[in-house]
Amino acid sequence: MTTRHAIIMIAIACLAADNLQAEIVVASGAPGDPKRIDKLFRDASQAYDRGDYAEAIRQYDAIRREGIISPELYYNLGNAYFKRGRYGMAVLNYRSAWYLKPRDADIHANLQFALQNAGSNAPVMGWLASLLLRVNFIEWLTILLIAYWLCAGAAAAYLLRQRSALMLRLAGLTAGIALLAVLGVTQWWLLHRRPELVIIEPSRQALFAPMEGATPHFTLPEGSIVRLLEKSGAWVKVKSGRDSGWIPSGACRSAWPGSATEQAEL
Amino acid sequence: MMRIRHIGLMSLMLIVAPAWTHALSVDFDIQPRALTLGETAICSFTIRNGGDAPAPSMPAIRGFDISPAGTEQSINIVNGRHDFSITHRFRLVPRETGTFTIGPFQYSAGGQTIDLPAIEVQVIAPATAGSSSSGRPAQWSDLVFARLTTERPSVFTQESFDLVLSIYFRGVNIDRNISLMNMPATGIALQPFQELQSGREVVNNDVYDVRRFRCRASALSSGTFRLEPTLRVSILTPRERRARRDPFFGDSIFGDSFFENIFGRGYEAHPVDIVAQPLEIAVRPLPTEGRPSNFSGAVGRFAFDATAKPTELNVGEPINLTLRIEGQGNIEAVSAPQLVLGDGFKVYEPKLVTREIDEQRGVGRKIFEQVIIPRSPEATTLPVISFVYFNPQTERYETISRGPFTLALRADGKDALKIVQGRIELPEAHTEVLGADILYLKPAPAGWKSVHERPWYRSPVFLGLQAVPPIALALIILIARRRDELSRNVAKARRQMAPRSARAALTNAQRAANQGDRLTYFESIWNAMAGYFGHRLNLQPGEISKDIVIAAMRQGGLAPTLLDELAEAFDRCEQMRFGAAAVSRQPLSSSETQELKQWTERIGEILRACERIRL
Repeated sequence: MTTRHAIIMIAIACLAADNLQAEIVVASGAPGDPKRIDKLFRDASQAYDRGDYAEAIRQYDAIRREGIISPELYYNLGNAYFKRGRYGMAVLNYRSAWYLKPRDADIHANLQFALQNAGSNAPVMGWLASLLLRVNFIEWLTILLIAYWLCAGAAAAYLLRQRSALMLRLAGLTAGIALLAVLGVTQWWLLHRRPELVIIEPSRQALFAPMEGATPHFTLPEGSIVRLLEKSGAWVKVKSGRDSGWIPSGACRSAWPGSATEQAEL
Repeated sequence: MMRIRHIGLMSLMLIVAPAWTHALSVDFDIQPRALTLGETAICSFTIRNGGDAPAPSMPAIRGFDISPAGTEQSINIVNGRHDFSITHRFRLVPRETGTFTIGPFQYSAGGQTIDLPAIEVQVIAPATAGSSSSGRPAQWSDLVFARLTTERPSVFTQESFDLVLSIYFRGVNIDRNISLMNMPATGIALQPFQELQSGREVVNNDVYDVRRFRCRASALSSGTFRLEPTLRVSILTPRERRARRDPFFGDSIFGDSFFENIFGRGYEAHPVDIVAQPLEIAVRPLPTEGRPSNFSGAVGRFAFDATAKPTELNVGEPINLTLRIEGQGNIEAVSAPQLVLGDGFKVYEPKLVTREIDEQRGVGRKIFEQVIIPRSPEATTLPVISFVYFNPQTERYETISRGPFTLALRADGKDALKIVQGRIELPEAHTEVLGADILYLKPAPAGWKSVHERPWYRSPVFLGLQAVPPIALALIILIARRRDELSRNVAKARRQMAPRSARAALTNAQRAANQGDRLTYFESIWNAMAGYFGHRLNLQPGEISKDIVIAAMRQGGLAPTLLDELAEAFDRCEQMRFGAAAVSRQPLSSSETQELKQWTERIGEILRACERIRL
C-alpha cells in the first residue's frame, strides 16, 4: 500500500461519514416510524409554504420530540421560527444544525442572517478551534479510526517486512492524521461538556450574582450565543466574549443537538 | 496626661545653588511616634535637590533632649535624571510622659518656603515585665491582637473599598508569615492583602508594634456582612538551651552552644490563632430611584470622554469613535456606553483597546474604539453619548455626556475624479439587490437518525475491535524481535531447531521399522542423531563424529550409562550404514522390528536427556 492509497482511503471515508453525522447523542430505546416522520416533515413544509409558520413549528417540533436528530430538521425549524420573528429560537436551531453540518453554506448563511436580525454576533473562536470545528464529530471519529488502523497496519508491515521505509513514512503520516483527529474529537467533546447556550428571550441582562436584584453586568440581546460556565439552582453563569455573568436558566437553551426537551415556543 | 503643643519656626536662608535642576522638596518624619521613657525617637529632615544647603538646626522642644544623629547623602540616577538628597537626623530622648506635638515647621530656601506639618509623639511610662502599664498581669490577648477596619462601614453593591487589617503586638516577636482564615466566601470579593509600612501605636497606655495590611474589597450583593477573621500567627520564642552537655564535644567549637553564641540562640515558632475584633459592613443595593435606563453597572467615581474621527467623510466611510473611561471603582466591570443611532448608521461592537487597571487601588482606565458608518447623507449628527455611573459618595447616579458630533458628509464619489465623456448606453453591469431573506427549506433527508439508536461507535463489538491493533502489534513486535535475534545468533537459532529435526527423523525411523526397511531405518536414526547434535553443537555436517559428540555430552554432565548407550548407537548406525550390503538389505523380522521400535524409543529418551543438559 502506498501513501497515495492511504490518502484516497481517508478521503473516501470522509465522504462516507457525511451520511453518519447525525449520530452524536446516544440513548436507549426505539426510534420513531420513518414513514410517519416523513409525513410530519412533508406536512410541516407545506404549512411553511402556506405561511402557517406556527403550524410548521408544531409539526417540526413534533419530529424533534420523537428524538430525531437531523440538520435538515433543525434548519427548517429555524426557518419557521425566523418567519415568526422568534430570532432567538431561530439562532438556536440553526446553531444545532451547524453542529451536525458545520460546512453547510445554507445553514451558515441563515445563521448569520438570523444573528444580524437579532442584533447579536457569532461567538468568536480561536483559529485552531474554528478550523477543527469545520469537521463534525463523526467525521473526525471516522478519520481517527481509519488513521488508527492504517497506522497499526503500516507499523506491522514495517516490522514484518524487512523495515520498509515506505511503511515507516505511511505509519508516521497516519499517526499525524490520527493526532489531528484526536484534537478534533476533543474540541467537540469540550463543546459537549460546556455547551453553547442561546438567549431565547428578547433581551436579558447578565447579573453579577445569581439572585434577583443583583447588579446588572452586561446585556445579552436575543439570539446571543454564549458559553455555559456553571450552574447554580435556576441560574446559569455564562461567558460572552470576555464578560461573564448570571442569567436565569429559562432565558436560554443549549444548542447541542438533542439536548432540548421543552415544548416548542410559538 | 500633660499635653504640650510646641510650634517652632525653623527658617534657614539658603544660597540657591545654580546646579538645581529639580524642584526643592523637604520631608519631615519622626519614628517611632509612640515610645516609652528611656527609648529614643529619630527625627529626620530629608532635603531633595537642595544643592549645598547647610544643615537645619533643631529648636529646643520641651520634654525632649535633642542631639544630632548624623547625616546621610544619596544620589539616584534614573533615566539620566539626577536626584540628590541629604537627610539630617536628630535624636529625641523623652524626659517626661505625655502627648507632644512637634512642629509645624517652615523651611525657606531661595525664596521658596515649604511648610512641614506637625507630628504627634506619644510618650508613656515603661511597663513592668509580664504586666501591662495598668499593672494587671499580661494576657495573650494583651500581647497580640488584631483589628479589621474600614473607612466605609456602609457601602453599596459593586462599590470598592479598602479593608485594613492591623496586628498589634508587644513583648513578643511574630513571624513574617501570617495565615488569614474565616473570611466571607460570598457577598464580598477580596483582593490579596498587601503589607503597609509598619509602625508603633499606644493602645491602653501600652506601646505596641503594629503591622498593617490593606486589601481592596468589593461588595457583590446586598446585606449585612460580619467579618471576624481568624489570624494564625507564629509567636517566636528563644530556643531553650540544652540541659545536658554533649558527651563528645561539650562546649567546644563544634557544640551547639558555640553556634548559638555566634548566630544567636535561635527561635521556636508557636502558632497562635487570633480572632480579630468583628467588623460589620452593611451593603445596600443600588437605589432604583433615579436610575437612568442606560446605567450599565459602573460604581465609583469616573471621568468619561469621547472623540469621533474623522468628522468630514463620504457616506459609507467609517468613523472611529474613541471612548475613554477612567477613575476609581469597579472599573473591571465597566463597559462602553451603548449607542442608539437609528437606521442612519451602521454600528459595530465596541472593541476594548486599552485596559490599565491597578486592582490593589481599584483605579484604572479603559479605552474602547467603536466603528460607525453613516449610511445616508441625512445622518449628519452623532447624538450625545452618555456614560452613567453611580457615585457612592454622593449616593446619586451621575451622567457624563459628550457630543453631539456634527458630521460633514459628502455624497459617495462626489469628490472623486470625474471623466467627462459622451453618454453611452450600456447594459447594467451589476446585480441590483432588492432585499435580503433567509434561504428556503431543505428537503427531507434519505433517512432519519434518532437519539434512541445506539451509535455504531458505542457498540461493544466495535469498541472491542479497537483493541485488536495494539494487541496484534505487540505480538508482531515480539515475533520481530525474536526473528531478529535468531538471525543475528546462528548458534541459538540452530539450538532451537535441534529437537524439531530429531523428532522428524525419529518418526521416519519408526515408519521404516514398521515397513521392515532396515537400511532406511538406520539412515533415519543416524539423521536423527546427526541432525540433533549438529544443530545442538552448531557443527557442520562433516564435523559430526561420535568422539566430538561424546566429549561434548560428557562435558555437559550426561550420565555415563547414557554416554555408553549413545556411543553404541553411533557404532551400530555406522556398522549398518557402511557394513555388508547383503545384511543391510535383508528385511526385518517381526522380533527385530519389535526390538528396533524399543531401541528407537530409547534413542529418543537419550536425546531428551541430552536436551536437558546445559553446555
